[in-house]
Amino acid sequence: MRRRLLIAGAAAAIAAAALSLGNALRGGSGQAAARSAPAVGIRPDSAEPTVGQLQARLRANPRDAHAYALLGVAYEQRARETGDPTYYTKAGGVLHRAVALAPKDLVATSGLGSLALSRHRFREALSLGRKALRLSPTTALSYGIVGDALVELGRYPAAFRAFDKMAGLKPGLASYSRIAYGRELLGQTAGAIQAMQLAVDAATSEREPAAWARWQLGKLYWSVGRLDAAEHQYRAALAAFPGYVYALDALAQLEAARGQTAKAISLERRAVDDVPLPQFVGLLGDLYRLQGRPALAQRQYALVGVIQRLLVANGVKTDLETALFDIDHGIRLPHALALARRAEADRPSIDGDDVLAWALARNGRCADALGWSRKALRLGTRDALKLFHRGMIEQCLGHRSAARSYLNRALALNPHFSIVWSPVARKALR
Amino acid sequence: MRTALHYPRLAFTVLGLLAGAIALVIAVGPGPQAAKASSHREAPLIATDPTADNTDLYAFVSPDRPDTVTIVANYIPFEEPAGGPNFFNFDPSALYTLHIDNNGDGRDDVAYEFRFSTETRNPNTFLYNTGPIGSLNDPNWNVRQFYSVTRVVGHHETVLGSHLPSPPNNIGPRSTPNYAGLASAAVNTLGGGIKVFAGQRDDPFFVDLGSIFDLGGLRPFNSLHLIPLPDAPGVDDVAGYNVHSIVLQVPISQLVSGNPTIGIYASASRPKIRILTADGTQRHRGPFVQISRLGNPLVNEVLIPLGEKDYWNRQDPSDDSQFIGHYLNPELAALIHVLYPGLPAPPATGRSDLVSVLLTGVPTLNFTGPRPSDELRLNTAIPPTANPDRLGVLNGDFAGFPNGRRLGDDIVDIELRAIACGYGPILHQALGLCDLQPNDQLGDGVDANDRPFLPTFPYVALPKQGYDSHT
Repeated sequence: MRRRLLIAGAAAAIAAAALSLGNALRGGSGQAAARSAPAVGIRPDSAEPTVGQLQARLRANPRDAHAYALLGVAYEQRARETGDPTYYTKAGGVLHRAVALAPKDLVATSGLGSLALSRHRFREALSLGRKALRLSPTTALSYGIVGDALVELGRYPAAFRAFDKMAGLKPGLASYSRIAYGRELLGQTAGAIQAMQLAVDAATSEREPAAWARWQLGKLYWSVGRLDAAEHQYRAALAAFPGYVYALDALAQLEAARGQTAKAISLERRAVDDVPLPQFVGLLGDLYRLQGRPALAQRQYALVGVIQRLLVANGVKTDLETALFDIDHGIRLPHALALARRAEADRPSIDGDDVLAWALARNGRCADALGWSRKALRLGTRDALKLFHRGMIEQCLGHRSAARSYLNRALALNPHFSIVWSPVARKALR
Repeated sequence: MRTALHYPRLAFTVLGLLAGAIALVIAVGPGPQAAKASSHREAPLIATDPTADNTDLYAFVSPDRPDTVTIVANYIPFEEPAGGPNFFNFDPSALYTLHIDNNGDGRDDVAYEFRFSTETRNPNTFLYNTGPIGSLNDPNWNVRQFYSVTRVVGHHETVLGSHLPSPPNNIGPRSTPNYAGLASAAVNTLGGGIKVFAGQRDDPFFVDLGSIFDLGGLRPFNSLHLIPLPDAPGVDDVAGYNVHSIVLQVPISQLVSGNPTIGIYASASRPKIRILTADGTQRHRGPFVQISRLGNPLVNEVLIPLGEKDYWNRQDPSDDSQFIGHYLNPELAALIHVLYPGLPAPPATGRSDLVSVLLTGVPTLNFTGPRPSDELRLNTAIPPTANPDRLGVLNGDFAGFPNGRRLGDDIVDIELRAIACGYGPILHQALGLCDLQPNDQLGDGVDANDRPFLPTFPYVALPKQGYDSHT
């Protein structure tokens, strides 16, 4: 409810059309909802009271650089809690004020770094993370910012060094989960699961972090097709944090994999209703389409476009996500290819390479796609979707045995890796 | 839920804001959390890490067994008693250690290591309990914790106890109808006269966070503040929250060596791992890395700058001379004068008094030698008093802080007065410590815990129950 309204309210800032679309789909009036919002919600771990306190502190002393820094971080947290990207804009405003008043403030600097990460501005994040490291070379968090940025820039050896350093300085949820991610990227799923189990332990006694770590652990099991183990972790996440949207979305994928489309839709609707992230809304559309309800699907797809525009309006770069969504849904393919090119240039990670490869292939340029797909798989990542993309590219080039090999590998890893593409992979193998 | 919940380390916050150094977004601010609003993989950056958050350390000669010392180390701040379905436990991958230095070199001479394991009876349910928990091995209790205690002397390790039970969280009259019975069944007696307890308890700390967060306010001194308000009594903002306590009672003879004064600190450590080791393989668990330590209260929170906190936490007290400048020249001393312009300004440099109280011990009281190390120093030869004074040594009660720390010692007032150079007439006359007036009357107006402590082991009050926590 709260999130729904915030999104609706935020939409007003960009376009009346967008607003009315959002409201039509969600049946709310932005204004009224925004006023009633604070009272709603079951989530006790909210930064909302912190925001109020810091605002009061700043009214008493408008030159309190540190309070601006803290407020910026609290706004970032609100963005995470609500999915409302206008908090990024607010966070950016107060963090820049903090840095203007106190250029060497560590919290403001790392706050700007994590904000840049959230906005997918990875080069900026890298330089802010490095600035934070100059201010304090012994603070683990700054290595996290640097490593996260380097991963998205495709600079893996340096990224992994940063994560190793972080985990050496301060083993805990933040560093264990990054070690797990590094291992996952290298195709070391068993090791990734072990590291994420340490993260789960480190999150003992916490609600959201425990739910997050369980969800991540579940996704690792899911990535290798261990559906029951994945489900156990997703349910553990929901037990720790009832209504946890990521676990709802993950369970929806799982139910869809089992052919329980109606169940999947009801789970995904709960997730979307709480935090309408584009990937949730997109999956809901796919599920409606699977159920033979194209009109409902189209409405979700239209909403994805609205949300992406909201994100862009608040400084988030969405080229990669938008390109992949458009390609997967056959929307303006030449434009999607241009987006993918821009995204890859900006974000030359294996994800950027893979989306560009897929965009080229879907535009019929399979020879060009192959090189990018090779780059996307250069780490040995066991990612069914990337292997599927490669298989389709090989097939398009007439490389039948290579195609079969990649498609088989994708399906062997996780027969249900995508509700849209798994059936396509199976059909191609027939 | 209360605001304070977002400030994981209350101790931290206490003088932190006053210091203007409350920074801690990194440790304070809004919780950890993965991002939700974007699609690249965003793992949490800011971790509040409550299971490694050592909120308070206490050490005192046991009032009912004066030949023993009791050490209390608290973790997991601000446990909401009605916090279900999330119940509180120690981190089963972490190592919790109580360190004793008995010769003043800042290094461990005796250490007690605690390792926890979580056992789930029925993996098909996520419920904490499926009916009333009548005993520590009641089949209705689904998620239990056990622990081992290992004594380490040099390279010699002795397992003192293993698979020792922790009590459940105090949930309510249906789930935990005889909580006191469960908790006392979880007091474990080991060989050699050692007692141990690890589990949920009432947070014994008391402080007026609400006022201190409001521009460093101290309600009883509201009229002297830069932005004056009417004077008012303090409000205990930690009342009603629980913590997880590790309580250890050991005969003094097993701890001292010559000097009756011992230095104590507590720590939490976690295994270090790498993505790949040099040979390209993976190791599940590397060596433990200390990620938090606590000797004297509020040192990390008040004296250590934000950018050095991670580093400080990893260090051994024997290396604390590198931080001596922060004790000699505390930022907070200058800020007291800014916020309370009517009070005489305490010196903000050359504070050898703080070095003595916090790093070497006070001569004639609990001095351990010239090596500066942040430890809670307890002179075990000083017997417990029948009527403890909350201001401890400041009021002539030598069995209290900074000679060890009892549960009822008013750390906030004592440290505030120390930093403001208001040690009071007794220490002024005895040791020549500075005594500015009225700085020797400062305090937050919260003078005691909301719940009485127990007269016997484990001393810390029973945890508040979820069911009636808001009545």
